[in-house]
Amino acid sequence: MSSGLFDVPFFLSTFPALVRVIPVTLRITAVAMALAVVLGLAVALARIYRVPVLSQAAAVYVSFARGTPLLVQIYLSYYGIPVVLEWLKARYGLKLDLNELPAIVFIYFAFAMNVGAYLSETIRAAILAIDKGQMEAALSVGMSTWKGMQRIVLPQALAVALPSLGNTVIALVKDTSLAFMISVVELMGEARLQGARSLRFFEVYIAVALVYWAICIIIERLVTLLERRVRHFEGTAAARPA
Amino acid sequence: MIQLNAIRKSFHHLSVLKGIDLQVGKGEVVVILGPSGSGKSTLLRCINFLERPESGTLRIGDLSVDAARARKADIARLRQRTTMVFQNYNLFRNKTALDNVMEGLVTVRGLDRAQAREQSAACLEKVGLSHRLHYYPSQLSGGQQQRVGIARAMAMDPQVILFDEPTSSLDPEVVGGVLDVMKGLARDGMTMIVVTHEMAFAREVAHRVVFMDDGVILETGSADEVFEHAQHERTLQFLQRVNRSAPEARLAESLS
Repeated sequence: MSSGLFDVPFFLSTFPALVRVIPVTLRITAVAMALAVVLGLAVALARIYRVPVLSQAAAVYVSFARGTPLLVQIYLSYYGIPVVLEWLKARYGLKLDLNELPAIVFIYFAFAMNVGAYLSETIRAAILAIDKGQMEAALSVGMSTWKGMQRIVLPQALAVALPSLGNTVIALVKDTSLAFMISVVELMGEARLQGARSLRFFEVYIAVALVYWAICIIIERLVTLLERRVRHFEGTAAARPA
Repeated sequence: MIQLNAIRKSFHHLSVLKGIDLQVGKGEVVVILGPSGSGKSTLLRCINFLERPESGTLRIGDLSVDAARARKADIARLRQRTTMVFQNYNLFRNKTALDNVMEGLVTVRGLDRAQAREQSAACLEKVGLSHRLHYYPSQLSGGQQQRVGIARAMAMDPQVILFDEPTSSLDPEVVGGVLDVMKGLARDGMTMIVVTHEMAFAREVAHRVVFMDDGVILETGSADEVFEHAQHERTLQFLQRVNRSAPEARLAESLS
C-alpha cells in the first residue's frame, strides 16, 4: 500500500498539521500587506507630489525591489539586518538582544519592502485616475490637501485599486512559501518537514497545493464582496434619472 | 471689499495675466467675458490660489495677501473666504448630494453633523434639490450636479463665490435652471465673480461687466456700456462673434 503511486490515507493524514500552520501563513500575509500598503501609499504620495529627495529615493527603492529576486531580498533581510544592527550596537552602545528577534520579523520586513514597491505603483495609478477637479473642489471649500486625499481621493482610489490589491494579496499568499528558506515554519515549511519525515513528497505537496488554492479562492471571494461595498457610490444606470 | 492689484501669472514663460487690477464691492455681481485663452479662468483661480499668482496683492474683506509671499496659512484664510463653482461641477463622487454640501462644514468649519446636515439641507432646498439629498453624483443629471455644486459653495457662507463657466458643460435645456439659482443668489446679495459666455445673464444680472483679452482687462463698465459702447476693437469683434453664435441669431440668419 505504502509503495503505491498515491497513498490516500497518508495524504489525508497530512491535512491536520497543515491546517494548524495556516495562521502563520495568514499572519505573514496580513502583517506584510498592512505594512506594504502604508509604505506604498507613502511612496506613491512622495512621487505624485514630487517631494524633493524623497521622490528620487523612492524611485531607486522601487526599481531595486522590483528588479531583484524576492529570495535575494529575504536573505538580505535575514543576514544583512543583523549585521547592520550589530554594527550600530557596537558603535552607539545600543542595548538590544538580536537573539530575541524571531526569524519571522525579517520575513515581515522583506515582504513589506517587496510588496510595498509594487503597491506604490498600483496606488499611484489609482490616485492619478481620480480626476483632479475633485481635489480642487476640496481645496476650494478650505480643506487641506491631506484632508482632501483622506476623505475624497483615497476612498475612490481604493475602489479603483481593489482588484489589483486582491491580486497582490493572492500573489503574497503564495510567495510566503519562501519564508521557510530562513526556517519560518509556515505552510510550505510544514509540508517539507512532513515530506522529509515520510519521504512521500508527492502526497504532501498535492495536499499543500490544495490548501494554498483554497485560501486563494476564499480571498478572491472576499475581494469581490469588498469591491461591491467600496463601489457603492458609483450608482447604477437604472437609478440615473433622465 | 475685494481688491486685486497687479496680479501676474505665467505658465512656462507664457504670460497669462499681465497685471490685473479689479475691485468688487460687497453684493456686487461681476461678469468676466473674453475669448478663450484670455486668462479669465486663470484670474478666477488665482483668487483662491488654485493657481498661484507670481506677484500682486489680493484683499478680501479684512484679509490682505501679498501673492509673492503667501504662506500656507494665508492661502487657507483666503480659501475660507471664497468658494468656487466649477465648469465640470467637480462633485465628490464618493459622497451623496447632502454629504457633498456637508463636507466643508464638518471638516473645515468643525460643525457637528446634525447642525451641518440641517444647514446643508437648507442650501439644497434653495437650489431645488430637496428630493435628491441622498443621491450620488452618478445618479444626478448635469444640471442637478451643478446645483449641488452651487449649494456646496453657498453653504460655506463665503464672502464671494467664484463661478468658472458654470453652464458651459450643461445641456441647453438645463442651463436656465442653473442660471435661475444664480440669479436668486445675486438677489440675496451674494458677491459673485462669474466667468461665463451667457450674455443674457450678464445683461440681466451683472452690476458690472469686465472684458479680458490676452491677460489684460480691456473694458469694464455696466453691461450696457460694454455691450453697446465698447471702446476697443477686440471687444467689438468678440461681441459680434458671440452674438452670431447665439441660438436666436443663428435661427434668424438661417431664416433670412
